[in-house]
Amino acid sequence: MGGGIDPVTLAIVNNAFVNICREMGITMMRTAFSPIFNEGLDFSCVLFDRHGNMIGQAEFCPAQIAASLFIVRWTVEELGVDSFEEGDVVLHNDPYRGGAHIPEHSVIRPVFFDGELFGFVANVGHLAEIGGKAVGSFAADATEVFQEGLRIPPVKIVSRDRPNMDLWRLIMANHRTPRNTWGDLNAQIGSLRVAERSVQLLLERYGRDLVEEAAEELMDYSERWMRTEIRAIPDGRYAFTARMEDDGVVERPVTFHVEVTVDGDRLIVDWTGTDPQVRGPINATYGVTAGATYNAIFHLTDQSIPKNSGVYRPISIIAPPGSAVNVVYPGPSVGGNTETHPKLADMVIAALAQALPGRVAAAEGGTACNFLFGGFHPRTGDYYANYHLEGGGWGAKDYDDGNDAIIVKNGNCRNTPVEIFETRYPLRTIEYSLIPDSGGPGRMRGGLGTRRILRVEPSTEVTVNALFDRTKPGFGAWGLAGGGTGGRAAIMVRRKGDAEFRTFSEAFGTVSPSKFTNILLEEGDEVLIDSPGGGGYGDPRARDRERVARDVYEGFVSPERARDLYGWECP
Amino acid sequence: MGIRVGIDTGGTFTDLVAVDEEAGRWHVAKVPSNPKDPVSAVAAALEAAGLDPERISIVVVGTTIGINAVLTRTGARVLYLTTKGFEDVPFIQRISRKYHYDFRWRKPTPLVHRPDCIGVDERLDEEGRELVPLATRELERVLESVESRADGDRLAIAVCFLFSYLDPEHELATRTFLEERTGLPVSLSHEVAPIWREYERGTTAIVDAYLKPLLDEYVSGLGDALVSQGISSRPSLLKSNGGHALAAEARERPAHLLLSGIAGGAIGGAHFARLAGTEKGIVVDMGGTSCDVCLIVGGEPLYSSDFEIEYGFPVSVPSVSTKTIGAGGGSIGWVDSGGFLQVGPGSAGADPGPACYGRGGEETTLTDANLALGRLNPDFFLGGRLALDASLSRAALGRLAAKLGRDAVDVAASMVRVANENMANAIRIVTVEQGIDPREFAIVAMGGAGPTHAAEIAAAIGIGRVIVPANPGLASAFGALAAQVRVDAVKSVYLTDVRATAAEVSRLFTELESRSVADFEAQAGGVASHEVRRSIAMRYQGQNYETEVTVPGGELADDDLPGVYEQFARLYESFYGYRLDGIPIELVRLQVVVVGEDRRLPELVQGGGPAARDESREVWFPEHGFVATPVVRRDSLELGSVRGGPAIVEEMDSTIVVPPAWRLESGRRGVLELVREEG
Repeated sequence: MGGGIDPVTLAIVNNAFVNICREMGITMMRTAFSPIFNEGLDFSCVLFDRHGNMIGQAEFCPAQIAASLFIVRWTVEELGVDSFEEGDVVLHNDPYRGGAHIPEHSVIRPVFFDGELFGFVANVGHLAEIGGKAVGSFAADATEVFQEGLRIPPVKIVSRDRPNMDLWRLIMANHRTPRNTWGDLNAQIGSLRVAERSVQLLLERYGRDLVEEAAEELMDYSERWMRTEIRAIPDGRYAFTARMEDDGVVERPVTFHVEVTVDGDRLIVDWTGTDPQVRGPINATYGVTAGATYNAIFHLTDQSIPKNSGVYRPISIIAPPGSAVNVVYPGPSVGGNTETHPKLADMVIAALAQALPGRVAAAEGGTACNFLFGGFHPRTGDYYANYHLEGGGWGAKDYDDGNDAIIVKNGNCRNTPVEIFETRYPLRTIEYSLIPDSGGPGRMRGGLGTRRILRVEPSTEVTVNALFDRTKPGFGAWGLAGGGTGGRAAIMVRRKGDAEFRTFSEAFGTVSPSKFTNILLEEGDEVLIDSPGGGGYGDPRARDRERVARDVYEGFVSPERARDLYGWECP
Repeated sequence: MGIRVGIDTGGTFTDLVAVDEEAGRWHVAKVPSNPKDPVSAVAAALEAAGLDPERISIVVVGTTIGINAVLTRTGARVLYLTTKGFEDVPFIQRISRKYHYDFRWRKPTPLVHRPDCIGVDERLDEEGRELVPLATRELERVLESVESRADGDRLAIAVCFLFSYLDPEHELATRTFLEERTGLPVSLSHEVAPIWREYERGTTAIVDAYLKPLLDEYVSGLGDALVSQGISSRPSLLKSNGGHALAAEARERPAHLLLSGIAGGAIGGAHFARLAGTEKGIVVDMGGTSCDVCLIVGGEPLYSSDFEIEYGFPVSVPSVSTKTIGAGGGSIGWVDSGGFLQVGPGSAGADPGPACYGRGGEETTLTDANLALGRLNPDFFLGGRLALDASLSRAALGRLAAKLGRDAVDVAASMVRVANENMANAIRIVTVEQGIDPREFAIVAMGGAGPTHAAEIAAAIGIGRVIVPANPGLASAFGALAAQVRVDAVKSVYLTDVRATAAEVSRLFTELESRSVADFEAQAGGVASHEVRRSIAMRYQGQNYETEVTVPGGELADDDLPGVYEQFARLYESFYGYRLDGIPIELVRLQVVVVGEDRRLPELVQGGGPAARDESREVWFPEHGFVATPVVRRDSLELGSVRGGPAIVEEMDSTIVVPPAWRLESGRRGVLELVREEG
């Protein structure tokens, strides 16, 4: 181990850091208002030392792994460590200052002990509605950040435990559902107080010197462990290229390229070769690209490495500014977090497939199927906004099939039960099912996607927005080692009286069939949402016959496809 | 008056505790369990206790049969009927993952096959209005599907229609139709779990149907076993909610018996906390493989309806709220790839068990660590029934120590510390979830290993008081004995403080209550005195988690409601530090509890053993190292006596560790207390 603190005390202090962050998260989950927050758990909690190092974290949503790392450090650097007073809370959601996308709001509170600054507690959470051109603040055809919602640079929303009401009023006046904003930000800020108290108790129990020394040693420890993991990967340069179908503004595919260099105990992940920044909002911020890179590496290394600043030290990321993997002001980026992140992560995993065949997985559905809608509820007359998403199939592995219907890698949200959905929103669910044959074929099969059909209720108008990907042929989730591609996503509409579902481009003339805003639907109109399946792994003809038979029995694979792709003969 | 019997059938042992209410005498028995034939161990325990069968007035059994059948997939073939278009909901589930960065995790496999999920053309809306009626020809079509599957499997039917909790007519009609024609058992979701969220409700109905044939067999066998012992009273089962019910009634709702085997510990713990004069306790029931933690608030265990068999596989029925941690005597110490010493969740179980059992176990377990630190007595483990070999513990610790480059005693001390910290962290999370400051609570230490670790766990959390019941290893059986008949009923509603009227709330409560009282009488086997408690789960509109607010009984007046809302706001503020006046309050669930009267049990006083001899051995404590420590038998402690730590107290099924800065108080009522010295 090295260092002066015995390993058991180190482990105990580390568990205490994580526990403090988890306590903060549980408090938030129980008190937040937006479903994406309290049901979707789209937030993360972190603990920092006063030098801007992350010493503990409990991410409830992987999207923020990098963002939470950068936001606190960069904010402290920008404002100056001396500008924080006891009882202050700094708020910010600026995607160009370390964030993942504009709906994510960070709050940061200094922790003082015996009158001296020890560090910071902070959390990042997704607010469901923050204004901008489209309800739900997922403007899939935005061309500038200003259309995506209200942008807030680091400001003190609370000064010495007194809320800055002028600022609160300004923010709430620019969000469509201000009551949720009020509840969510209060939940975020309230949980910081819980965490602050826990940190102070920890300092009382162990003493400041020991805790600070332990934090330093833990970072070194995580770094060493990560280096050990990297050293076990064969040295070499591994590349992978993938495309997204369009950016929502220009109907043209966008190409991403990565080259991963394994050099002894360090990793260099170079995104050079990716297309220049695009007009539409699928650009990734640096926070997203770094987060996706870390996400992939965490999937391929030991899960139990303590997640602190040390773990990131052996990993270098190159993301050229002004490219689709490092958007610059005022480029849009709201979809980069949900659509681009999972693909970037799967690209790093795919690049390493030949080095680590036993650990990787084929691509997952890789789109959150963001479907946002709002309007006045005909029963209550209240304005509502909802952020809806779907789980897709996950990629198969050398050793097992992919799971069916699971949320994208960058998130870990749950779906909204139909009974809750219909109680809150004036849309009726007609069907919610698995899509047979949507799993990419392989020796191990990709997971299945799902289908949902919604119908607008009588005397109701609903404004809808979507931000999907993988709806076009050739853009499905890729297989590995000879495995096939997963089924495609779809977002389609059947106007009242129509016989067939059509794309929104066909029905409404949107530029992109999968990314659009502000379409008004009326009574009896139906929306079909298909989530994509996951990619397969290995040659389908080599699939264990019992697994094929079970798939056919359960109806996951049709007899025709079993025969044609798997070479299965019905007994 | 007669003899009351509580039995707990655990994985390794079946325990019995009985009280002769006339004589004020206690009987205990411990026999090996028989997982292949659970009833036979019950019979063996009754026999071993040597009770007069004719005087036995009630036998309450806590059983793991339900949970075992789910874990080993040995229940019935279930046909799942649901609203057309939603047949795949048991497979889709809730789409979240157990771990963020793990490709290996598999989603739970449902207890139904996909072709056995049958869509029924019917539909209600969110206010319970009928959008699509349930046609007879639709039921006839379903009947054909059912009949085509009647091929010799044990079959059962589960029904879950959307919004059935608002209007159960379609589910009821389906059961009437199918029961008459097929004779198969039918579980209805609105009866098993009348909550919103179709996946949770449907899955609970599936579990219920899955277990029904099995429970029928078990209950028949249990009845026969009692009869063959000459016992005339009918058996009762402990339910997940910690209440007992006549077995013949309980088997109608198998999903409510899933935690039968765990609930006893919580009920027993609550009983002993009250006996020690406290209403606030944290039950730490630590056995060979795991540790169950349960909070006691207001003298009663906390309840919840969000139990999960595994991640993503809920059984949403009222249950004592227990968190299970992978820390027990058999927990294995190991070095992770980063070089940290870890303890658990892997366990050597009972076979081969810890290295010191001498049954070929190679792993280093927590029991080995405790033995090496002098905390356990190799000649008096399980009252001397199992001789421990300390040299095997030392060898196992030596192997682990070599990996860490440290000495064996250091590793043993570290294992104990790591395990204690893991439990302390888990307890902190459990209390934070409830908005509770744990330092005001006492730990109730139960299970064979609980009293060995409790004081140090308490110290890590800042708790200064530990309660150790008599026979801590039998506390679950004791819980079965101390349990009352109890019915928990819930109803999902969708009301806000703006829309709710006192008349409507009263009407809903009255309906729920009359049904619950009828259930209570059926489960108690007749009219019995009882108490009714009402509460409403509330939250600010938009939130997802509720706070429960107690409501007075009887008819509510309109001006009662503002008081209820104010009580909610205060509770919320006390948990989270702020309130949100002006934001509408949602009423999410009405809850009714009907519970039998508390039964006074005679005190279980140990003592009367030989006077304490001057025994001592070297025991290791943090910051002290090995110190000469007095060792006493529990039955030699004089009632009301106080002695300072360090000390070791040994009894038949447990060892109590009193660290140096603690004192031991031998309470008058059969409970020992460990109290941390001030300063």
